[in-house]
Amino acid sequence: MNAEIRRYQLLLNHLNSLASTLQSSIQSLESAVSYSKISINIGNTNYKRIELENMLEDLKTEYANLVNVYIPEVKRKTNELIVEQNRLEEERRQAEEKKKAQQRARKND
Amino acid sequence: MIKINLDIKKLAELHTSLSTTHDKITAINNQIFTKLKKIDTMWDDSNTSVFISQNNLDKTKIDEYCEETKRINNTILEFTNNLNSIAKRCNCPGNGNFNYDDDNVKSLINYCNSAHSLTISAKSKLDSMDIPSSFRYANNLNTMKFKLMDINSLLKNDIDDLNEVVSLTNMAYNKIKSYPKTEEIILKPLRYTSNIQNVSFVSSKSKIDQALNSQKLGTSNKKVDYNENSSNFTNNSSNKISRDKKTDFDEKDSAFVNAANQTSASGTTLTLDENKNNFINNETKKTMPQTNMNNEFKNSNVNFINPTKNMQATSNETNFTNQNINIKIPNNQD
Repeated sequence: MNAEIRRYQLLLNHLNSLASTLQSSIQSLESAVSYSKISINIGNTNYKRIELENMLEDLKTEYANLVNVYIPEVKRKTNELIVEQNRLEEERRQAEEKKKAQQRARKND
Repeated sequence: MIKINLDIKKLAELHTSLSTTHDKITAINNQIFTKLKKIDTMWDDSNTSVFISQNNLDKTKIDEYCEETKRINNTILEFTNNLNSIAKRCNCPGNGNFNYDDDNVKSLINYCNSAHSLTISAKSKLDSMDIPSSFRYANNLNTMKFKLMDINSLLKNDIDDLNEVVSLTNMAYNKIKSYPKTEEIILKPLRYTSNIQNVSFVSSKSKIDQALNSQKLGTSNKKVDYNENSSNFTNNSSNKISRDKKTDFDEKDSAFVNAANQTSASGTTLTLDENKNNFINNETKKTMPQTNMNNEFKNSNVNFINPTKNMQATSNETNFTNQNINIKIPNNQD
């Protein structure tokens, strides 16, 4: 149980790091798109602008999914696992308590 | 850094116009010098030969200049073709405009490179992640990885394309930029062998003086070589000199000259009575009766007038016709 929580916690860290890298890549690509408008213009067409814009859109989509869906899911799952673990811990504790109480009662008899 | 901002179509038009202009200038150059060659040794002296040899040198210079401008124009054509092939390579429509800014292109490529290395890094992170199979979006993360790989490879191609365009454009530009400028043509001013400024003036003065001297009593037995046939000047233009062939003044036929050469025992000045002149014109175009011909001599106005420098052939009046003879030079050659 602890192991799985740990896995998810690690996953969360990795995904956060991935998001940050993607964000930087997006910023670079945005600058690239800006420069493509003023670099090579042949026949009234900015060379490579459309290609770069398409790539930028794809990256933004991936980033959005990561930040809005996958990472929240990891957090949610982690919490779920923690809650589950706590519940189990609580159950075990209560079971332990009950057992101890029963043992005490038998002694007193 | 290179900045190019032009219309390839207009550049091509420029090349065509320059070609046409070049052809015309070459033709005019040839015509001018052909005509100059016809201005022959009218006066036959050392200044004329200077004039002719200088003309030949000038023609050579102008010919070389024309060749050089032709080469430059070919460079323009080459540049135009290079830009057109770059445009084609970029799959851009051929409406002609070509704008290129080297600094901005280099920034563009830098940002593409940066994005490229970051997406590679992102893909690596996904590779090294431990994704629990229980994770709902495990497949999505896998798909994302492939997506990033696609983007990487597209970016790489785009970067290569951009670098190639930079290289081609730089090459095209450097080729035309490094073409040496044409030297100015400097055509040397004519230098004469004598101090007299006017070539033909010198010649005509010497000839006229010769003729004058031959009229004086006993002064000279020198033949007056004032025969139109000895000159190889051929005036083929419609602006003929007013002297007609019929006034061919061949000394041996001329009783006029013979009369002038007679000596008089008394030493008196010989008065030439024009009415007694029995000069015979052997040409096919015979003159009118002699008296009339003399009048023609008398009345003819040989109009050689220098429009800018009204130089007279001689300060003395000649004894031919009591007329002043002025020498006309159509284009002053100073």
